[in-house]
Amino acid sequence: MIITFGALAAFFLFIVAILTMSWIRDRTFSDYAVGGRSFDARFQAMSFLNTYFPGAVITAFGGMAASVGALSFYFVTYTMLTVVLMYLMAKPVWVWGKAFDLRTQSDLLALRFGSRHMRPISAVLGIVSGLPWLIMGMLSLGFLFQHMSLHTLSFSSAVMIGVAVIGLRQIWTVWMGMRGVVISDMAQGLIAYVGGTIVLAGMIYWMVSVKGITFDTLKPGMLAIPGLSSAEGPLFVFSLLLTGTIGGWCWPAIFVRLYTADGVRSLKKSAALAVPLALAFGAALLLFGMLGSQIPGVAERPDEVIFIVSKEAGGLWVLALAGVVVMAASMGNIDGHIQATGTQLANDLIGNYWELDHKQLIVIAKGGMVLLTLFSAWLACLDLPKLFSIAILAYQCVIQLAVPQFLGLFWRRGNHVGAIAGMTVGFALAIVLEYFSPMSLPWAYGLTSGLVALAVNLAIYVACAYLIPQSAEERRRVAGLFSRISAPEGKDVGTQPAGEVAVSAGA
Amino acid sequence: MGSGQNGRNGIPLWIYCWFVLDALLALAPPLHWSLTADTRVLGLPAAIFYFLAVALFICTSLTAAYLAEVAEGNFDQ
Repeated sequence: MIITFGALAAFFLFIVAILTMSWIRDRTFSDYAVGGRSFDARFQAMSFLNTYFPGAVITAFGGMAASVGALSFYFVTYTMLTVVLMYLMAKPVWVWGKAFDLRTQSDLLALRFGSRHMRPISAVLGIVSGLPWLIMGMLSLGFLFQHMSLHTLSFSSAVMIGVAVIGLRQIWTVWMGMRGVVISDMAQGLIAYVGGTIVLAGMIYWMVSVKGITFDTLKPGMLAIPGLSSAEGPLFVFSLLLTGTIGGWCWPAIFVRLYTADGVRSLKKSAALAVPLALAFGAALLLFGMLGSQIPGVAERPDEVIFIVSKEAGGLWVLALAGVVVMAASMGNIDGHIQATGTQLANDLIGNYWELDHKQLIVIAKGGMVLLTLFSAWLACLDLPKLFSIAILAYQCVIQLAVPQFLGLFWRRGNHVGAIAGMTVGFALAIVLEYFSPMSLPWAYGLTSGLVALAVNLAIYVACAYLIPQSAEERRRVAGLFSRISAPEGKDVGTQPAGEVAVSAGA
Repeated sequence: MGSGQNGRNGIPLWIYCWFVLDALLALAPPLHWSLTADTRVLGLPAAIFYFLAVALFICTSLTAAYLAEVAEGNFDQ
C-alpha cells in the first residue's frame, strides 16, 4: 500500500505545488470565471481533454469494452465529430464571448436571444443534468481507492476517502478559479492521456505477447455491433453516435472552455492538437478493455478492468501508475465541473436578478463551489441504486440545449419563445420517454429518448421562428451580432456586458 | 493571402465538404448495418476497423482545416 498510496500522494503534491507557484490575483469576475481569456492552444487542448475524458470514462468505457466489445469503439468516432462541432462554433462563441464579456454557456444564449430569462432556465437545465455525473466521478474514485488499498478498504470506505481527497483538492479550485483549473489540466492531462496511453499500450502488449490474447480468442459476440434486425432497433448505433456528438458541447463545464482561449486561432489549433491524442488514448483504452475481458475477474467486474489487469500485468508498481492515471483524469473533470457550476450559480442565477460587482460575484461563486462540493460529496456517500440510470437520463436531457445553442449560432431566425418552449418541452419529454423505455425506444426504431425529444424541441423552435415575426429592432440587433463574426479576428470590437444587450432588446 | 473559395466564417468550402463527408460516414445507418462480426479488414474486426478508420478520417479533416485556414491567412490580423 505504501507504493500505491505513495504514488497518489506524490501526484497530489505535484499538482498542488504547480497550482501554488502559478497563483495570480484575479482582478475581475471574468478573470476568475474564464481565466482572463489568456490560454494558448496547448493549454486549451489539454483543458478540453481533461474535462471531456474524466476518470469515469476510463472505468465506464473500459468496462463497456470489456463487456460488449466492438460497439464501445463508437466512443472514439463521436469524440472526433464532437471536435468538428467545436471547430465550427469556435469563431462565433469566442468573438461574442470577448465582445460581450460572456462567462457561461447561459450568457451566450441570453445574448443571442435577447432574453435574460434564458440564463436561469438553461443554467438550471445544465446544473441539474450535470449533478449525477459529478457524483459518478466521485464514485469512480471509490473503485480507485479500493484497489489502491489492495481491497483492505470496503467500497463505502473507499468512496468516502476518495470524496475526502477530491474535496481537499477543491480548496485550490475555489481559490484560483478557472486559471487554476486550466493550469492544472495541463499537468493532469499529460499524465492521464499521454502517460495513460503509454501505460495502456504496455498492458496491451503484455496481454498479446505474454497471455496470447487476440481478437481470435474473444467471444464472437464481442466483435459484432447491433444491426438491422437487432433487438435494440436499426437506428440504435446511429442514435448513440449522434447523441454523443451533440451532447459534448451541451455540458456547461465543457462549453465554458471555449472562452478561456486567447483567440480563435488558439481554439482551432487546440482542436487539431487534441484529436490525435484523443484518438490514440481512446483507441488504446477500448482495445485494452476488450482484450482485458479475457483476464480472470474482469468479466464479473468489467468497470474495474484497468485495476485488475494492471495488477496482474506488473504488480503494485503498474497498479500505482494506473491509479495515478485515473486520479489525474478524475481531478480534471471534477474540478472543472465544480468551477463551472459555481460560476453559473453566481452569474446565471443570483447575478441575473441582482446587481452585483465583481468582488461580490467572486465571493458568491466561491461559496457556491464550496456548497456544491459538500452536497455532491454527501450524495456520493449515500447508496443511490438508480444513479447510473439517472446519469443516462441526464445525458438525454442536457442535449436539449443543443437546439438553441447550435441554431442560435448559425441561423439568424429563432427567438427566445421558441428556444425556451423547445428546451422545456424537450427536457420534460426526455424524462417521460426514458422512464417508460430506458436506453432506446423500440417504436422509434431504436432512437434514444433524447433524440426523439430533440426532434420535438427542434420542431417547436423552427415553428416559433416562422410563426412569431421578428421586430425590425430585433432583426437589427441579431444582424449586428452576426456582423461581428464576419469581421476579421483581430478587429477591436470592444467589450459590452451581455446583460445590457439583453435588456436593451426589451426582453 | 488565400485564393480558395471560402464559406461562412472564412473556412474554405472544401473543408466544409470534408466535414459533411465526416458526418455522413460516421452517422449513415446503412454503413452500420453492413458490419458483420465475421468479416476482418486489415486483421481487425470490421466494426472496429470502421469506427477507427472514420475517426482517423475526421481527425485528418480537423488538422487539414486548421492548416488550410493558416494558409488562407484567416488568422492574420
